[in-house]
Amino acid sequence: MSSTYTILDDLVKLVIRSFYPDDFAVIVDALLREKKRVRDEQLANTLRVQQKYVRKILLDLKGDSMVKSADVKIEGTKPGERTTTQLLWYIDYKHIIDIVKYKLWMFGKKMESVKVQKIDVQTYRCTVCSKIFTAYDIPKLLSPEGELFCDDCDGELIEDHNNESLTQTAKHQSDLSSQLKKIVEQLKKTEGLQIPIFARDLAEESSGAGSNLTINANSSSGFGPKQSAFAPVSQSAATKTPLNTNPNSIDFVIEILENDNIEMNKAPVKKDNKKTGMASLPPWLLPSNSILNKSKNSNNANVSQANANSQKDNLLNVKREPVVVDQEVYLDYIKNHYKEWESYDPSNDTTPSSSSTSSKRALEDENHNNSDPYKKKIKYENEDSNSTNGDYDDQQVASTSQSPKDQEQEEECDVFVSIGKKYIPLTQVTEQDQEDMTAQEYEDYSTALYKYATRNLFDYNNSSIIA
Amino acid sequence: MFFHLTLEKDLHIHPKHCGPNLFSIATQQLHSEVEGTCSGRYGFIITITSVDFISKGKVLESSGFVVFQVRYNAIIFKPFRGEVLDAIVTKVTNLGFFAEAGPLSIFVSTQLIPSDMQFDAQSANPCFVSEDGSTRISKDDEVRLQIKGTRIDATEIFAIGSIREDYLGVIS
Repeated sequence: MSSTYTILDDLVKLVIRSFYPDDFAVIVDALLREKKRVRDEQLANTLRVQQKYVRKILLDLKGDSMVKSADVKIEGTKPGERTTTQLLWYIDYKHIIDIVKYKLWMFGKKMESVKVQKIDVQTYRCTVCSKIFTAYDIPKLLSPEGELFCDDCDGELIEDHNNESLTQTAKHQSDLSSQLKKIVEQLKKTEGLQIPIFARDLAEESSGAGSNLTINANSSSGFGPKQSAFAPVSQSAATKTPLNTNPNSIDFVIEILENDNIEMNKAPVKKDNKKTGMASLPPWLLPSNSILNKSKNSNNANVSQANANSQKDNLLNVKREPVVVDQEVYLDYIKNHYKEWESYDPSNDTTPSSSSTSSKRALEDENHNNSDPYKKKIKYENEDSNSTNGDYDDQQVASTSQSPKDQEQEEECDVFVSIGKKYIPLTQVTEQDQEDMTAQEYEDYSTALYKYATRNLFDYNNSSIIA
Repeated sequence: MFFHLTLEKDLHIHPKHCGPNLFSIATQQLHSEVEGTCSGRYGFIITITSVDFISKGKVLESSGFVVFQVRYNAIIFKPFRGEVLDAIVTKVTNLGFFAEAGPLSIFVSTQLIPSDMQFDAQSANPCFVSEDGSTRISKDDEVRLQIKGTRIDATEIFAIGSIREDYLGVIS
C-alpha cells in the first residue's frame, strides 16, 4: 500500500512539474504532504506565503481538475457558536489519473489532427513576399484567367511543399511522446492498483459505506506513506501483510449446522444433547439407571458379569445386529429402572445427584416394603395429589392394595382407572374411555398402564427364567 | 447534406404592395430574398417549400414599410467534412481544379489529386491526365470527391475536396 501512495504521489508531482510553473509544484507538494483536506490558510501558513496567492494557484489547479475542493460544515464546539463552512482542498487520485489519461489522449488527437490538416490543406507561398496562403484562400486569390496571385503584392503563388512541415510535425510528435514517457510509465504503474483516498477525513466518512477504499496515512519521510491503521484489510492486503498475532484481534467463527447429514458433525450435536439436562434424557441414559452403574452397585456377581458382557457387547456391537437379550441383565435393568422411576420427585429431580439419592431412597423403601412395591408408589402418588390438589380426592387413581397372592390371582382386575366418576378396570379401558378422560385422568391412566405393563413383563420374565 | 428546416424571418414589404395581392407579393419577395442565399449556421437555402404568416403586418413609422413575421419551411444544403459529393468541374488550373456541387464551390488541389495524374499544359483545354491517358479531368467533367474541409463565412461556404481516396474521381 505504501508503494501505491508513492506511485500516486510521484505521478501527481510529475504532472505538475511537467506542465506547471514551480510555484504550483511547491503548493501541490505541500498539499501532498498534508495527506488530508486542508484549508488554503493552513497551506499558506505552512509555506509562509500569502493566502491569496495560495488560493489563486489552487483555483487555477481546480480549473484544470488537478485538485478538488469541498465545503465542509463545522459545527460550533460551544453552545452559542454558529455553524461555519470551510473550504477544504484535497487531491483525488482517481480523478487525477482519469484527467491525465484524458489529456494525454487529447494531445495525441490534436497532434494527429494537425498532421491531417497539413496533409489535406495545401499551402501556397507568394514568390515575391513569401506570404503563406492556404487552400481555403484560393477563391479570393483566383484571377478570372484561372491563375493565383498574392492579394498584397500581386506576386505569383507557388505550392508550398508540405514535406518540411510534415517532418516537423512528426518531430513534434516524437518529442511529445518522449517527454510524456515518464508520465505514461507512471500511469501504467497505477493500472490494477486499488486507488486509495487521499484524505483521512474523507476515508472516515466513506468507511461507513463499506467500500474498499483506503486512506493515505502520514508518511515517515514525506514521500513514502505507511499503511493506514484505518484501512480495511482487503483480501489482497491480507495475503501480503503479516497476520496480527494479538490474541484480542483473533476472531473465532462458530458455525451452527442445522443439517446433521454430515457424519463429522453428528458427534458434537449428541454431546450438546447430553448437556441439556437429565429431564430430556430417556430413562436408559440416566446415570442412575445406567446398566453399567447398576452393575457396579449390584451385589449379584452373575448380574455383574452379565452387565460386563453387555458392556462389552455395547462397545463391540457398533453395527446394528440382532442382539440376543440377556434375561438377567434385562430384568435387572427393568427393576432398577422401575425403582428409579418410582423414586422420581418432580420437584427436585433435575440433577443426577438428586436422582441418585432418590434412587437410594427407593431402594430402601423397597427393602422395607418388599412385599408390595407398587403400593408405595401409589401411596406416594396419593400424597402428592393431596398436597398439590385436594379436589382430586374423589378422582384418585385406583390403587392396587392386593397382597402378592391376590396379585397373582387377579392380575388383570386389580387396577382401576377413574373416568369421570366411574372406575373402570385398566384392562377394560376402551379408546372411547380414553377420549372421555380429562388430562389428569389420562396421565394417571398412562402411569397405571405403564406400571401394569412393567409388572406383567417382570412376572413373565420371572416365570420364563424359572421355566 | 440536405435538410428540411423550419425557419423564421422578418419580411419588410413596401407600402405600395399593400393591396389585394399583398400576401402573394410578400411570398414572392420571400422567395427572392431567401432562396439561394447562404448562412454560416444553416448552409445554403435551396428552396422554400411552404410559407406561414404568423403575425399581422406592423407598419414602421419611419419608413412606412410593413413588417411581417414569416415562418417558412426550406430545403437546406450544408456540406460536412468527410462527405462525398458529386460535382462538376468548372475550372482547371495548374494548382488544381475547381468544381461545383450545386451552390457549393470546391477546390481540389494537386496534392489531393492522385499522384499519377498530371496537369497537361500542352492541351487546348487545361486538364489533368493520368499516366496511361485513360482518365482525364477537364472542365464540365463530373467528378466524385470527398470534402476535406470547409471554410464557412457569414454569407459564403467554401470547401476543399479530394479525389485521392478510393472510388473517387471522374464519373464515367
